[in-house]
Amino acid sequence: MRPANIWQIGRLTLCEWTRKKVFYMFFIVALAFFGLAFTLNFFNLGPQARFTMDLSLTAMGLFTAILSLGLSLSAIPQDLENKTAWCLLSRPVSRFDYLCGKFLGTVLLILIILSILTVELVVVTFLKENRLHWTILQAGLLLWVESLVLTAVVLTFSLPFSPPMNAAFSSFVYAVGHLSSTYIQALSQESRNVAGGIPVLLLKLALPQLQYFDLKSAVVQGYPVPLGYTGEAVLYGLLYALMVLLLGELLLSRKDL
Amino acid sequence: MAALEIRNLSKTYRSPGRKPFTALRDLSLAVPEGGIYGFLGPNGAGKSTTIKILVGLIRKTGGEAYVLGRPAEDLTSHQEMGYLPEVSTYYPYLTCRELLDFYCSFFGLSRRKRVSRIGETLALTGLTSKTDTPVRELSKGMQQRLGIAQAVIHDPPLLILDEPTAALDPLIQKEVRDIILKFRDQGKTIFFSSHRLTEVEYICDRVAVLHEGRLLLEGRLAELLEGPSPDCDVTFSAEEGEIWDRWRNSGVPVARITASPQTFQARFPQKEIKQRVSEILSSRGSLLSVTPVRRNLEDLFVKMIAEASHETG
Amino acid sequence: MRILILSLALFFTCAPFTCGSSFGQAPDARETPRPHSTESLEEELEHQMEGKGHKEVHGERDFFWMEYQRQPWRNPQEQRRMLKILLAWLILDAILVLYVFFIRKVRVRGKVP
Repeated sequence: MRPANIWQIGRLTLCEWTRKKVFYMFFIVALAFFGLAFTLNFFNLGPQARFTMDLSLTAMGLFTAILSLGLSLSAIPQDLENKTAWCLLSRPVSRFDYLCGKFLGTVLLILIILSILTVELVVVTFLKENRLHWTILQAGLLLWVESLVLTAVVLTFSLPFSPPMNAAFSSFVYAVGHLSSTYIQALSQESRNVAGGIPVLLLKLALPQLQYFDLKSAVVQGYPVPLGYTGEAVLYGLLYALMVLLLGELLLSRKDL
Repeated sequence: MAALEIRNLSKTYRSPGRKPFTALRDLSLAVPEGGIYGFLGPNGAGKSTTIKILVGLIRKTGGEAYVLGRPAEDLTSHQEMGYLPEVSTYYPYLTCRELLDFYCSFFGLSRRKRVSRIGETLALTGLTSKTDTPVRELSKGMQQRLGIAQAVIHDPPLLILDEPTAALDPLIQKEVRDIILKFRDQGKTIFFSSHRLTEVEYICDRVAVLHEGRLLLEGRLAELLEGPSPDCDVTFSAEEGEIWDRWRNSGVPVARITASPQTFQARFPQKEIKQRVSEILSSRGSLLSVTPVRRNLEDLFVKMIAEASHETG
Repeated sequence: MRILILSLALFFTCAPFTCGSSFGQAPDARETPRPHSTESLEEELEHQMEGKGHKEVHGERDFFWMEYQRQPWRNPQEQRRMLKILLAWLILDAILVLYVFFIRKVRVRGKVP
């Protein structure tokens, strides 16, 4: 593994996305949805800042997921189909460098978009309530960490599966990953009596615990989130993404191009 | 040390639900350093598979492959090798300079050195005027030149070119050929696969012929084509309807030369020449020339492939 | 178009799980004893009730308690579970790194012509 190679491929991937129109379309749609949350305040459905934060963070979470899925779904299959990967991988570039480079470029782009949206939300809530909600920054950071996990999963799934199958499996991982631990706990307790107990337990362990990255309720209810917890969640996300990327490397290294 | 060394290399493609397909069977060859090595074979012979194993794009199922003394799987061997794929597609949104800078960035060169290499390579491949043009705006010929530029951007001693002139018009084919010859003159080793036998015969020092994953022939081109040909071409002029009709009716391979009326050409084994010349003269024809037929690669290739196909049934 | 369809599908799949913190839905409401005796919690809940309607007070309290319970940074049991998972992934990552970067590499480099 050479970090310089990963950086070069990541930079190229970022450049690729920013030169495509689809990126701007995503960004404009995200901003429009985000703006909608502010305009909805006129309906007076509850405390305004709380409502704005809830809807904005929901929008941010969904757009992060859509971006991770939309960008990573075709990143590697397209390179393999167009054969642009051939010239690259005939150089002293390992397949892990290539996979990590694609991953880095995608998550950097998401980081840029999320940073803009997070700062915007902090400023707007400050203007509404005249106090800074620092938890929004933590929520934004954890949303980005969630995108690391999701991007790693989608990139790895793109190696053995076709894009439609990958989209279906990754959406499943996203949806189930967001189920609170209580659901899974209950499911495993219910199936403990039957033969299905072990698969449920394995599923529980293997699927990413995406609810760890969901600080929306804390932000909305105004709970402070300890920095230690944020660190643990970041570490969990990094370890999970690394594990998935290493599995992806094992798949990619066995793939004939 | 050989630039490329392949020992008992084999590759079988396996995919679920399909019959395994063996693309290479016990291929062994050694490519010496310096000069141009032609790698020939009909479609599906295993040329691209061999090249892809050498550049690390596919995994071998058996045998060994070494690039400049190092195993082909070892990434350090890629440091001294340039590769032009059969189908060259490059990032369309990058300019020629950006693309070459990207490919150059994996070799640990300083920024200054990179800039100077990009300038030199663009000049060598005749793309200086296209430095800041996006790849998508280049013609097919220009893209092929850019492909060669990306392969040599780090000045490697070994170039592996997979059908570099395929699907190009004759003018660009010649340009590409001239660029390859320039690299040979710089002392690089060029290993290239091609379908164009005349081109291979024109520029290669050594050749290997592959058929159905097996090596049929390997050696110095001059040695392979050496030796007297058993045939001669006889060119003569004669009145229409005389010897022409007689020979045609008796199955002699004779053809009319369309550029000059009443001029014909026929190919005979050397032992028949004396008799055929006297036939021409006795029928009031004029003998224009008798030329021994030079053995060429095309004849050799067709003969080898036909024999191999006959053997395998 | 494909991206749009995908986005909509994803939105409708995930919206029920992700949206609703300020709407009073309880996604994981199960029978768990509520610490009525915990004064700090009651105070906090009262604080959260400010500016809300009158009729749904009991439901709102249930919801907030469930929300409180599911957050790992407040729930020691959930926190311990998270640390266990973290440790498991750390070990798994270490094994994979060892395999990918050391064991397999030696196998390739081991061959000499």
